[in-house]
Amino acid sequence: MLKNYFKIAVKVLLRRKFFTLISLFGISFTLVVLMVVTAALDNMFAPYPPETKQDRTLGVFNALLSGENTMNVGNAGYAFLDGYIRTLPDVEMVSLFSSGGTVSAYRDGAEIKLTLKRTDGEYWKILEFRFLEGGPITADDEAEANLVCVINEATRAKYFGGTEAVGRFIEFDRERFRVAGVVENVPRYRDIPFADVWVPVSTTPDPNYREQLTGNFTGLILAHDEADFDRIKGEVKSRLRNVQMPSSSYNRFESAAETMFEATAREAIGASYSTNPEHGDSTIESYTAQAVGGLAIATLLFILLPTINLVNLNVSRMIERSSEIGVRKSFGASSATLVGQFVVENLILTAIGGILGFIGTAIILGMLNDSGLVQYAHFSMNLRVFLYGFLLILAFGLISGVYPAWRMARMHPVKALRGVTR
Amino acid sequence: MIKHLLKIIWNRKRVNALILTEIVFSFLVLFGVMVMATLYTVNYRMPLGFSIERVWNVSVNPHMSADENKIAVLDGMAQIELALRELPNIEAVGGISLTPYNRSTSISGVDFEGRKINAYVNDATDEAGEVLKVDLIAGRWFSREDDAGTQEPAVINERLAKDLYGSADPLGKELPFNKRRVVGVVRDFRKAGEFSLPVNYLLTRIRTTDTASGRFPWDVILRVKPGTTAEFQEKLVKTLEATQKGWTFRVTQLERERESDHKTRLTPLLTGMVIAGFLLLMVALGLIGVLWQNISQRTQEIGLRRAVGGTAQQVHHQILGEMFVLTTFGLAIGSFVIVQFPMLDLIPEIPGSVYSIGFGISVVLMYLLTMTCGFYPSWLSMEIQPAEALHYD
Repeated sequence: MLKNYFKIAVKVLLRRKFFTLISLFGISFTLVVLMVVTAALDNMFAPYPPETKQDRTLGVFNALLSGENTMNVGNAGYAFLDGYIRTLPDVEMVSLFSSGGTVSAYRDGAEIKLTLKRTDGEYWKILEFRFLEGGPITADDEAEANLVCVINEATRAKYFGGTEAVGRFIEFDRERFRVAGVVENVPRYRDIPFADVWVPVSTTPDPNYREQLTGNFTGLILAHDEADFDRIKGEVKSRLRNVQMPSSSYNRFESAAETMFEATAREAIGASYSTNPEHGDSTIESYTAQAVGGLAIATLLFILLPTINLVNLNVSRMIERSSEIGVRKSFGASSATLVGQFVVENLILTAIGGILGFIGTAIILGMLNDSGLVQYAHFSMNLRVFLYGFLLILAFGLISGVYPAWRMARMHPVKALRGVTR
Repeated sequence: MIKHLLKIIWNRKRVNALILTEIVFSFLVLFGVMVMATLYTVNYRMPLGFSIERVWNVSVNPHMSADENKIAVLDGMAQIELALRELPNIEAVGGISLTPYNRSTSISGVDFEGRKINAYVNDATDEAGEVLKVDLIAGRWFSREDDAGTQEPAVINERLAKDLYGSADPLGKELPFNKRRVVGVVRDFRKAGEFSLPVNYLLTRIRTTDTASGRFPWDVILRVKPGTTAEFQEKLVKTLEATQKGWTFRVTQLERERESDHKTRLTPLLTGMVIAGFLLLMVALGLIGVLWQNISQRTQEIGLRRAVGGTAQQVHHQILGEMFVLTTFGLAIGSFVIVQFPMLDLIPEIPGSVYSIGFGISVVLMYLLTMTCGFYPSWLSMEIQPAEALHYD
């Protein structure tokens, strides 16, 4: 029976090519937009190398320190992370690293702007970078404040002209660092592993950072298992109470262990620690729900117009099919059978649009990667994005097909046979 | 005529309801994009109040706490300024706390004559006015004259002057912000760049010799001579590093900062416009299809009209007229939603005039869109022969 539906669908599609074209254009354009967004979100938040252990990684990203007249909001500080997070019990590993800052290196008088992160040795164990040559910064480098660095492929190309760089020196911020390793570029939108140059934390010129509760550091916690997340979050929360205030003028310190998505959702909704009196895990989770809800609403709003458009086209094509419907009904086809047939037909149309959409998405992602709009962008499609896309196609096909099908199936056979639609 | 058209539309209400919905949502999308585009254009055309041509910025990091080492840091800053003045390629050197296109802001709010007045605050040195070529419309920039004054001087922008004093002369007035005295008024000081919203702005004076207040110009700004290339950057950094041991410096060219600022601000707008453009193209094609289909369904009706003496032209006008009425309905419903934005002031950053311009443009574009879509199908309707219509079964 499905085979018959398919045959009819193809015939109908080929009968009025202009309409088929309009429908396909609408469907594939809608899916391209939805899938580009899906692919971008997937590339930002799903585990991609070097964040292969993302499913059991938590971050301590932000911190707030406030008193009567002062308020510091920002990234977590080294003193807090070192004293209260590094010592967390029953976790596999904890790493501390600074957020990216810009430094300038010079080659033949030309400036090369680089994003610099200061890391410890554990960072390179939690994150699995692909090394093109050499190796990572080690715990010894951190302990002895060795002037070594890891650079990415792009920096090697710009500073060393693409030739082998391990053992050679790169100069910035008044210091000469020996290159220990070269890694593949990591896209800008992967906030934790992204940088051009990595050096040991202990090489920071000004040792002041060691005293700070808020500053520009992030703590990365590798749990034994994802199931430990709640326990770790709770432990971090309970430890906040023990944090020693730097002076009597401060009375409140806030922070939390979050996943990357939770942290991004919190920042995107604009609910910084500063504006909300209720902090802690509960509020962070509710922002995640809001972010997901917001995305869902935005998606629905976006597909509203294409759906109405497609429904409109399908309904107005009813006249073409009226004699067919009349014959089918006269010979005893039930309304349900007809609805089924028309929905299947619409799904076939959306599937063709979906294939075009996949091709379009691949082209747009390729253009985005080449545009240089996002540093080292490497947006790609994978099975997961494909599955999401497939679900979107299915939903879109059903939504836009059901109403017209119902209208068609409800036609009175006599009227249908005469070709009267009203 | 209108009454007649309304009757025809009502008779085909189910089909027309769908078309109407489509028109309403397209209008809303178009309005959203047009308001944003208008806002960007209006902001872009407002004067910046300064010029960043050939201006470079050196951000200074002394790697020590400035609060605990006030004198050392201030002294270092003074030496840096001196060293820069000696370089051949430099026309002017000044200091500023928040350089143009820098993302950070500092806002101060006061109660003034029962009103709450906010102003963005920044500090600059005597020479910064010359480096940035500020557009003074009254009074003067900071200078040595202010050393003698008992009150700290301030330069404000025209917007803040109007906000505080209306049409009265602001020069010499005592500001509610820390009792500073107004010495000059600039046309504007839109630090955040061409696409930023106009705001109240207050500039205060800093000096590297002022150890008492202990405020620092964290950024040194300088204007290089024409023809200076980017290679000069490295020499600049080396000179500065030789002046101050242990300090680090970062040089940026403000013209490049402007480029990247424009890129980040325009990308979302352009993406939105492209998506909206495709959405409308899709709607347009869909409308042509639906109207075309409708015409073939109405062969009998049109044929009958032709048979009793209606000209092809009249039929053409009737179909277009129906589309016009339908669009008007759609726009009316859409306007009902749209009017909430300025009425409830849902987005306070967008002034009413921007809404009106955006509204006007989208109304014209919507009529253009639906009329264009209606044109081909209604032209087809002229081809219908009465005989053909009367045979129709």
